[in-house]
Amino acid sequence: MSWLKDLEAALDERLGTRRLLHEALEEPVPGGASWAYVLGSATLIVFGVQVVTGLVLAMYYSPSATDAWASVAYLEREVTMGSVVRGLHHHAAGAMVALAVLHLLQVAIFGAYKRPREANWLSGLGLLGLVLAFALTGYLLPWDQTGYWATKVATSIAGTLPVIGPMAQTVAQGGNDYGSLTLTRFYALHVILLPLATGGLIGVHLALFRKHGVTPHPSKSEAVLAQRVEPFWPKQVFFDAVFAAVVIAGLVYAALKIGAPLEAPADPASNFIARPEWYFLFLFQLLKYFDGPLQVVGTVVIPGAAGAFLALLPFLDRGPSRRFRDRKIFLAALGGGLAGIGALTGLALRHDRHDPTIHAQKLVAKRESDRAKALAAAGVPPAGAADMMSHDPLTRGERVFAKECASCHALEGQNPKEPKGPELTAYGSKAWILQVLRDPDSHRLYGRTKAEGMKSFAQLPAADLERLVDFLYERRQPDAPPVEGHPAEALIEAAECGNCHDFEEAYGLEGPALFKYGSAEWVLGMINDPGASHLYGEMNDMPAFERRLSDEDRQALVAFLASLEARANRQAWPSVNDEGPVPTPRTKTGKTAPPGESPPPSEGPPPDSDR
Amino acid sequence: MAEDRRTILKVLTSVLGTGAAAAIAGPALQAVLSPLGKVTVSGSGGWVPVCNLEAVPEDGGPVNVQVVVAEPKDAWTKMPPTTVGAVFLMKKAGKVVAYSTVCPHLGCGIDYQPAAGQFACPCHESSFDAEGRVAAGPSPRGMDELETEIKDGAVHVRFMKFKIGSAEKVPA
Repeated sequence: MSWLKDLEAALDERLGTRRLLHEALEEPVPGGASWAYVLGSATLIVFGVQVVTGLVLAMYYSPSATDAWASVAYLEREVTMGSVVRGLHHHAAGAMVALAVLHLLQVAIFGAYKRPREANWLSGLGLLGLVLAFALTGYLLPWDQTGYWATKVATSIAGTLPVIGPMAQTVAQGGNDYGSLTLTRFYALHVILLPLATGGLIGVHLALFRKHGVTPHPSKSEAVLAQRVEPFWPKQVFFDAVFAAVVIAGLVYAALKIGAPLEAPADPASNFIARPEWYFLFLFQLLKYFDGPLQVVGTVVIPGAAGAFLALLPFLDRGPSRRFRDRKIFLAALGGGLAGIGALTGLALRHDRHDPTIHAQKLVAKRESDRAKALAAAGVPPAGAADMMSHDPLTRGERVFAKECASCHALEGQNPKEPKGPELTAYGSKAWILQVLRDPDSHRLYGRTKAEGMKSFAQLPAADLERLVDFLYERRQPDAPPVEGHPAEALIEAAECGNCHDFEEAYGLEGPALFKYGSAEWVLGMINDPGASHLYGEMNDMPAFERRLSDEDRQALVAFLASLEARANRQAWPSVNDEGPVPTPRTKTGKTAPPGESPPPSEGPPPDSDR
Repeated sequence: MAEDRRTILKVLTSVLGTGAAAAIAGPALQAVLSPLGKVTVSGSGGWVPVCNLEAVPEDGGPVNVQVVVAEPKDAWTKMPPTTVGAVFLMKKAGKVVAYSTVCPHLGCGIDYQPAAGQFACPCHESSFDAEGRVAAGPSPRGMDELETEIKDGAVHVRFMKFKIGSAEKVPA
């Protein structure tokens, strides 16, 4: 080991390392090492994690409206450990906010902001502001739905400021609307300006900390502190290392198990319900209580007053004593503020947990996100990920359905205010066809339409029903065998289907022709002109969409409707093997289906999420 | 005793610090090195499927096929199909050979003349025999042969361009 000693001596001679190390490590800690001091160092270490992981993310990220989402999806999918690095960066951002706030609280409770440490308190507040600015700018960068819409709220708030509002908003978003310039601007702030400012302010913060030393618990007297003085190294460093290791282990766990969310690409035409990250939820909730001219109270006045109170704390609480009993008012104010933040956050979470619209939206968001990632695996066209999604038949079809069809047709637990057409959950599946045969005039099917009055086949033996269902399901095949000579021919004749339905060509009888029933061609015909003589004719009360929707939209609807069978929950309708009819109360006058009757959403209960 | 405790703390601290640093640096380094051995940009100097093997005449005569890079990808971006050139394909002794249609003289497009059974460049009247060798005219070298490969019944060509006007066949 003598060569190590030689090396150390040689380095010291040239670089003065001994003095540096002594300065850094032998700093006396009055009162000895304490677990109370680990929060600041942990915040610093997590900042280091952000620098390292952020550098890697920057190697794969492209700040443009067409490319940003695709580049993040590429990183998640193709880059070795890419999703882990991004997960670390995402969760470390939350940890930074939490640790910085905890550090602030510990410092405030110990009264460490008091003379002569006012500047250190202020530099710390500045750093907290920078951490929040990092979080705000970083959230937008993936250019996904949550980032886009949540950040839009923030810049819109800037726009409501008195006098300077419109200007402030334009400058903040880098133009008259969100676009590539917003991304380049946020990116420049996030990876250049904010890191430089943070690095500088950390330097100031640490230098001042070294100058003034630690602030021990207020109950300890000078004499007690002087009795026990330990050097910073190794005990305090050990405490710091243990806590930092726990934090990093938590981050690695979260990165591996949860990862970072990536919603569908930002779509300015959608009505995504924006929710900020958990640490901004209280500000978001605050917005709900002030509207009109008072809005500025929630956006600026209250948060501004809270910030001002923190900044002025050292100058308000001027007494020399750091003891709790001498600072009751200020500790109560801090506690009150904290309780307020906690209550607002709780209210925001509670509201979202109980809002069915948000649950439904989360299901759609999850589906679109999964779909976008699957499509992106084959490459994203130069027009960008949002364009790719808008021309994807399934996604486009679902959007058209929501806009044009959902006001009359129930679907997967989403009930229109006044259902006018049959429910389309699992549309075209055997379960759906079976339900039509069993109980066509149910309020969930044709009971509310002019097409009511089809005979119920609920009394047929189950095996016969099943064969009828199979026969109808088979009609969509291009090579479906005709009725004549079909194994089910006798059954169809006995059921007298042919009295009302034509199966051999598109020819209208009393009911719609079922030639090619369920095929893309048949479904498109229904969308184009359901009142055509070979379909519902006089009985039709659904609008014709041939001229109302573009060709692409109608084709997308067909594709979307065809996908409902595969994605439906098995409990959406009673299964083919169920015995007997499902009793359906005739509530033709009832405006909505009884809540107990709506089928559960197909993906099961929505996951509890803070977002 | 106190000194022993200090030593233990020092060792434990080093272990914890190293572990935590490795937990972050490990994934970061792997992500940085991720492009090693991956094709991040496709369709440049690479193999391109040009046609089915059946499309090449059995009699050894040439067929002119376009080289279309179907979906050139650059990282996450999928470009629209792009025609980057054309080649003559011929069956010779059971193998498929490919010649670039670019005339090595001054870069015009070479035609095939079935009557004469030879290739000819209309610009400056260079002509080439069925083996691609110069038969007449100013071309400094024969037609440029390209590497071919048969995969799953499709002819793949390693499409590239060569320096114009020189007697040596060197990549451009």
